[in-house]
Amino acid sequence: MKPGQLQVLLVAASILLGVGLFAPCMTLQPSYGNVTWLARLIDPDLVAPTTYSLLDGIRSLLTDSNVFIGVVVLLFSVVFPLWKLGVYWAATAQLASGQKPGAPVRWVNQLGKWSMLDVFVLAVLVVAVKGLPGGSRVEIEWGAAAFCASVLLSIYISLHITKTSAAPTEP
Amino acid sequence: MTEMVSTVKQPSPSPFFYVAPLLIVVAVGALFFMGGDKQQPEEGDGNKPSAEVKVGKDYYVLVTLMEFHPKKINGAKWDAGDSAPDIFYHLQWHDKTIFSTKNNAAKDVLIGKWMGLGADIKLSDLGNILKPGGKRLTPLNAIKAALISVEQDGELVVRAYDNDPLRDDFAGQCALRVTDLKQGDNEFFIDTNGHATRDRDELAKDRGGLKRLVLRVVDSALPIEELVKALR
Repeated sequence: MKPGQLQVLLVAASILLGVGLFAPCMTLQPSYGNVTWLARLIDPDLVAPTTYSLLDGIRSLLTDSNVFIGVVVLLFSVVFPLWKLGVYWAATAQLASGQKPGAPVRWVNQLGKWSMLDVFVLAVLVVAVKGLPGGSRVEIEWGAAAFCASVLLSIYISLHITKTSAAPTEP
Repeated sequence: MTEMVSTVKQPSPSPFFYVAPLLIVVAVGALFFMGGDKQQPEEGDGNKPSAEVKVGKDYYVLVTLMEFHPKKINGAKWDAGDSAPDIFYHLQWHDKTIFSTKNNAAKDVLIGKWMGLGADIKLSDLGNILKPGGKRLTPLNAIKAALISVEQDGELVVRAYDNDPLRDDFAGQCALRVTDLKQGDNEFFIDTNGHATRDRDELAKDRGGLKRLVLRVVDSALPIEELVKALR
């Protein structure tokens, strides 16, 4: 794959990351079993569905005394993916000018093992599958799919960058 | 594993490449914020009068708001001292009282409000309600409204009172042709002749007694979720 094509994929991965961070990630539909209607009478907000984006979740963690978890999620779900895409973009520019990508690509690939994708997917699945009290439901929204797609696309790009940079250069 | 390390210093790529993803993500975020501003839901007009009622259909009706003048029709004070009236009303249909808020009077007010839903639960009943096979508490038995059927020439009469321990003071009434009602909130003003009118300009300003009322009409055939929303 040519560096120009990789850059197109990087634009797509960046857009998907933006969508994944800002778009609705999950919707919580509260339910109180047989007395849901009564809860609605008392306070309609009690049964109003609430939709969160990934950034909303991080903000909630940071403001609700879960600063450590919030910072970890922020680093691995926002900062690291952004840095990774930036490094890949710089690497494709180097490949386009006939240079080999530098050490940052190796660092990113090493740190990529600590990516939060698997944890994120697992957490989302556990919340979605596990029955909540009173019949409350969690629905996964399209923002989660966009985030996962961005991470998978960046993995695909990294494989091609590694492959291209490992290929012998013509004399 | 060995790696080929070039001894020639490579020029660093432009910093733009590192910030490009951030710029794209910020742009996507800006689009979301702009889109979110446009999608503000319109609220608060769910009970505006809409379709007229249909003959042969059944509707829940209740007064959600009732306002009295500061004095009775005869110009006297409502209660001893400067106390405001305890407002309640009867709904009469076919000359029969089919609904009353005498036990739920709005105390010491000139404007009384009522909801179409409410559960009369005694503390002693609470345990039974929470048991799996206990007392049933359904939306239908929580509806606090009269049920009427729309007939040609049918009439609904709202009679307003001040609740007094000795004798309730009649504050006025409002006779309405059922076929003239609309679904949602119907606001009526009492004119100088004591008749109900939808025209605010015809309101009798110094008449005393009943001043205005809002009658809510809800299709009884609505799904229970919609019914709860409409009567709330």
